[in-house]
Amino acid sequence: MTTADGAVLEVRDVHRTHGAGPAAVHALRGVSLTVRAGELVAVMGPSGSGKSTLLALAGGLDGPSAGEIHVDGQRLGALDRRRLAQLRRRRIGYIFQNLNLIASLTAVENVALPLELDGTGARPARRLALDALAEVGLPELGDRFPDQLSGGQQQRVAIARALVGERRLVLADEPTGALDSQTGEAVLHLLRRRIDAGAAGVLVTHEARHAAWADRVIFLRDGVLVDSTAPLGDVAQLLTGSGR
Amino acid sequence: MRAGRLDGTVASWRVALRVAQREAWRARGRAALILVMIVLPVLGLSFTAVTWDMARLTTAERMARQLGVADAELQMVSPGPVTQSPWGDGWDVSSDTKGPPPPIDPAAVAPLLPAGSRMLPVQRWASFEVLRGDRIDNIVQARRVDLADPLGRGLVEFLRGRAPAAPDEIAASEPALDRLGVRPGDRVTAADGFRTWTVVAVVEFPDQLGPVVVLPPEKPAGRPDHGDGTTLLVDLPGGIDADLVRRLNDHGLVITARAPVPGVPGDRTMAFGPPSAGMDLEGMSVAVLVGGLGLLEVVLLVGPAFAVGVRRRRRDLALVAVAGGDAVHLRRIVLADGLVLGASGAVVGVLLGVGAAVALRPLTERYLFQARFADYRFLPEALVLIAAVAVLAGVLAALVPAWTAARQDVVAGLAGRRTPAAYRRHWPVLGAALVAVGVGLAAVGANRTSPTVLLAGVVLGELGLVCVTPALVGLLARLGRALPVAPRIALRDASRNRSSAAPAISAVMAAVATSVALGVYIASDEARGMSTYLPNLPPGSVLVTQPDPNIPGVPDRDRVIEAARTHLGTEALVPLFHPTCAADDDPCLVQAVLPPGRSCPWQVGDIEGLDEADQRRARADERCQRDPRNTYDGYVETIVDDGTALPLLTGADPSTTAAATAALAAGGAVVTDPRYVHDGRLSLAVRRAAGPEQRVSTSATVAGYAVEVELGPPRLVLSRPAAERLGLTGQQVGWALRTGPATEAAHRERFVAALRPLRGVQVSYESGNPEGPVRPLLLLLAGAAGVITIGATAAATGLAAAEGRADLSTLAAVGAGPGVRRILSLSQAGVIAVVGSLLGIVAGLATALIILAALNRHHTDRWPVEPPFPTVVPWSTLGVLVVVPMVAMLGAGLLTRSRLPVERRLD
Amino acid sequence: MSIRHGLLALLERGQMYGYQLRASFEESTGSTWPLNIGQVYTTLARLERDGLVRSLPESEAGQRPYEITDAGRADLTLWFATPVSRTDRPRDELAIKLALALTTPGVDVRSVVQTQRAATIRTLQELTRLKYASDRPEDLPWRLVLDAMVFQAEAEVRWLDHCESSLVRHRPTPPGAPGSAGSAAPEGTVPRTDEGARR
Repeated sequence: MTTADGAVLEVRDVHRTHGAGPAAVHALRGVSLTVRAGELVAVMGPSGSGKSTLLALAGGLDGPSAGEIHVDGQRLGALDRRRLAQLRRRRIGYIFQNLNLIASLTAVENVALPLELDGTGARPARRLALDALAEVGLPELGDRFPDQLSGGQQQRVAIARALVGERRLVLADEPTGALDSQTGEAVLHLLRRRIDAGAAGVLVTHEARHAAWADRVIFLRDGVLVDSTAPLGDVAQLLTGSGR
Repeated sequence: MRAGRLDGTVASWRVALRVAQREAWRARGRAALILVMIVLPVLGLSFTAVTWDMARLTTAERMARQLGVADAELQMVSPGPVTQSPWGDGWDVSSDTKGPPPPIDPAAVAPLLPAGSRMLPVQRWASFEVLRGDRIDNIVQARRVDLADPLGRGLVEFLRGRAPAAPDEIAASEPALDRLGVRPGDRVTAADGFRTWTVVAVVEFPDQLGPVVVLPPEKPAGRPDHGDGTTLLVDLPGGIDADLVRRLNDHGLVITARAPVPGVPGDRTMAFGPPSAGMDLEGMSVAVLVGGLGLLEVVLLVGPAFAVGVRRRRRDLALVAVAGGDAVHLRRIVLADGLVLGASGAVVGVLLGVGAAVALRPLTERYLFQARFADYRFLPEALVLIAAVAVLAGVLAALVPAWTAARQDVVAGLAGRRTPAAYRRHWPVLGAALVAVGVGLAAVGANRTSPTVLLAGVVLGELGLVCVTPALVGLLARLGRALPVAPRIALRDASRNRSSAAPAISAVMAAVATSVALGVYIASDEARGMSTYLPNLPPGSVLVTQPDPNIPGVPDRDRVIEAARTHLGTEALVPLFHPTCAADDDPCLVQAVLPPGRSCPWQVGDIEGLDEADQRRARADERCQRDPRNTYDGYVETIVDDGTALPLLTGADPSTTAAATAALAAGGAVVTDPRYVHDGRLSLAVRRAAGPEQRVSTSATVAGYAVEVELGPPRLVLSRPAAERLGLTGQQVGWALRTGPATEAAHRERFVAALRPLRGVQVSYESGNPEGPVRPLLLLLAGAAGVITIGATAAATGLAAAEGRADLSTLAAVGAGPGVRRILSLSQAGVIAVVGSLLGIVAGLATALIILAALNRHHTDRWPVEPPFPTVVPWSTLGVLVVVPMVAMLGAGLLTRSRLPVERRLD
Repeated sequence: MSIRHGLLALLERGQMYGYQLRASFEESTGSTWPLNIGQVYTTLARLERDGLVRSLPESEAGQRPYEITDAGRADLTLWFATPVSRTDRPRDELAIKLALALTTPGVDVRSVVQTQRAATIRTLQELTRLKYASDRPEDLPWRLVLDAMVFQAEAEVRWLDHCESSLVRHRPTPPGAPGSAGSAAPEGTVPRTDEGARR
């Protein structure tokens, strides 16, 4: 089996069941999803619909009960935990709503973390991390600790960490959850720009306004993909339709 | 108004206590951890207190045990009249009576007692040496009493068998049977092999659970002129009255009964020995300081758990503040945690301790005290005190977190943000000051040999280090910038969470420092003791002599040779001659005389009379420089020899022996102390011991040869001509021999046993320093410190891990492999264990060095010169203390769940 | 949206005469859209002309019932399947459409909701794209206009989400034959308990 052309993330008929017997909870029931390079897919759905499970599976933090997941051409099921971790630090960037920065590390150290874990020397890792911080607009706050940063700044540091290096897949779990609408929008702006530069992204959110930043929006309900929008076509079409 | 405020306080405490109770239930793991740390010491202390109280007998109980079913015990203490104390444990002898007490004679005592009285002689200490296999055993105690008599029977509890009836029948306790390897019905043989006994009964003495046998009563051969400690148990039908006591006292007898005897003023204290007033001030203050150190340790161990609790509840506490709680309320809520857990720990610990003391009583009786306890007693005062200290420990441990909680920024707390701990410069300064004061005090204490002051200094110093630790952790975190991610995170975590990391580190440090300091001191003291020990004989030399002047002749040559061949692998006997005064049997003493100008003007025996100036002068005087190990001042052990026994007695090498033999052949003498030889001459004198004042009867100067050896008493070897010039002849007293190769202690013991049938024979050999090494104690100390290290590390790491779960998730998501997460746990444990141990080792070594230096300084002005304390580092202890942190780290690393902590956060 | 489709939807339940239709229409729309009987008859006449309904023989009381034809059904289905466009719809058409869909047999209300939501999100996406493309400072007025539309669209999606959740809990109580009101998430309650268990 090969992955589809240009697909960075491919989820094929994935099931995830917690527990067994009558107490079994079916978090995902046969979900398939393909995300290509340069594409941002938003996952919407009510609480408990399986959004975060899908994200954890895509990031290799959790394993499917059935089905296959490919990231950047590698089947996750075939990788041991060490290789999974390696994949995460090289190819996958993860952004959480919270629990995102390590409090004992400065901003730049947090950003440099995946690089350092991957064996990059401290000096080059720091340089790359400072670049990434500059990219998210925080060039001068690198030596602050997370608790000396505002929520938006922290989230931007988290995004810088998720994007530093050559990440191909960015997984964001409610990245704007704790932020006000302006800051949230700025965060999404950053994410979008990175995707447009060639990464693939999955954005879990329950807000349509944020999901709208995606090229495609899929809806989960009770672990089933119930609905999805077609990829967006030409924007100019709307321009005429809206009567500007 | 005041009542209202009091009501408010009570209500607020009630709320705080309720919150604390619920919080303890909600954070069960942490509460359990705290409980265990409080319960364990409380358990140990209450177990000790209760056991001690049960083991301590009242006078009445002791008497009941001593008397059995008898009414009283009579003891002959003087040949003349005495005045006794009410309990018979002390007496005055009238001043004109002289001499030792005569043996007690039942026939002479009988007329003094009321009609119908019965008596039974008891000897509580009798000599008993038996063969155990082919060696001699003298561990088993013996008592001599007729167990067939009801009075004697009352002293013991019969377990099996019947009372010994014949002179060759004995009863034995279970441990004695085990020790001798016999069962009832078996026979045991006396060490000299001349008689045997049959064990016919198994008995138990309530006051002696060790190996003990009961010998049947025995008529002493002849009529000895002094007593052998035999007493009389008596049954007095009429009770004791003042007349009886006076009658007995007039005949030198003292009576001991179950109650104070009548006719003796009760306030007379004539008891021998130190007053039983319990602890003196010194002991008390040492106990208080050691207890304080223990309390500090518990507080340091428990403190981090409370600190973490406060951090976890930052938001709750902020909410309380929002709801109108002021700093007092916040403090109270956290203090209530300490109160609730301290009180629970106290109750649980005391109950468990008392339970353990009762449940383990048979074992403690048998193995710890070797005596049965009397009543069940629980020493409530001590239990209350222990419980109070436990509650105090809980509250003290919650004190610092409580202050922190009251000071926290409410807004930050509500937002879930932490307020970074304000860096307080005055803590490290205070700490450094305390360390300095502590060091000074310890030095002063060591100098004055006052353990109280010394300990106070040590405790102060450790408190100071505790104050310094947070700053040190902060410094380490800043130095750790260049470290790899996991250790860097661990160090920064420790630094950020100083309120919990610092006490844990301090706890490890205090335990390790104490262990190291004591270890170094004990090891140095031991090394000093070893260095002052001089063997009496060269290794391998064995002397077989007949010291008893009443037995003529020398040990039978053939038997000695046979025993030596069998057990020591040699049959070469060298005869050993002592000089005797030719004229008569009077003992006489041969002395070597120091040449004039070589003798020290001060006598060691006059040490009391020497003031400091004299001592300084003596130290400076070249003549007074002597080997501090040599305690034989002026005494030389003399033999007459032609050079054959000389190597066996001095251990001199062959060339020295040859030279010495030549000197002897030339009619000279050999001495092992070179100071006596001057220009090749040696002055000798003979003192007759007869008469009160010793006088020099003969003196001579002979050719002298000095042999330097490392042996205890200086030895003088006279050639026959030299002896004759002093008017002495050599008389053979026994044999000297050199053991064959591969002779061990067991061989020598068998050799001794084989010669025991030769009456009065004494076998001497060098068996090494009787003060055995104290390694087990050192290892025990290190082990205790190790347990505390592991405990503190595990607790602190567990708490840090609970705190750092989110970090682990983040690390996992960012792509850290299982290894990195393991190393993080390992590093978290390492920060506590390694930093604590290193600090502790440094502090402990410093403490020990200060103490040793102070002790040595104390000795520098003294004369005679005492050997200084060497600085001996007990590497085995340090080894344990270095290995333990590694174990703690590895344990933390291995026990960390390397599985992803997938926090199923379903939104 | 028109009265046309409203009447067709009502006739899908069964034959009705003019007054009945008017009453049912007002009942379905919560009287937010009052009709006069003339409008009803005019519309019915047009529907009959287009072959979407057919009139039946007059009853004894002189009332003429109408019934929906196959062509009428096809037209109705098409209407339900077509999302309401933001640009050309009257204000409450969406709400009325959903209300009618709920009471019309054979209509999968969830798919109506989903179709509408996909369309609205598509609009949101397009608006967002426009906003993303215009990040020059002088574009602010334009961005604010876009924001206004974004927030309206978002509100609609939220409402649709809410509708969907309500549908899950909805137990159909049809006025006519049981089961005629369509499929309102038959298994809807099971996943909800799952969800409760998972927390």
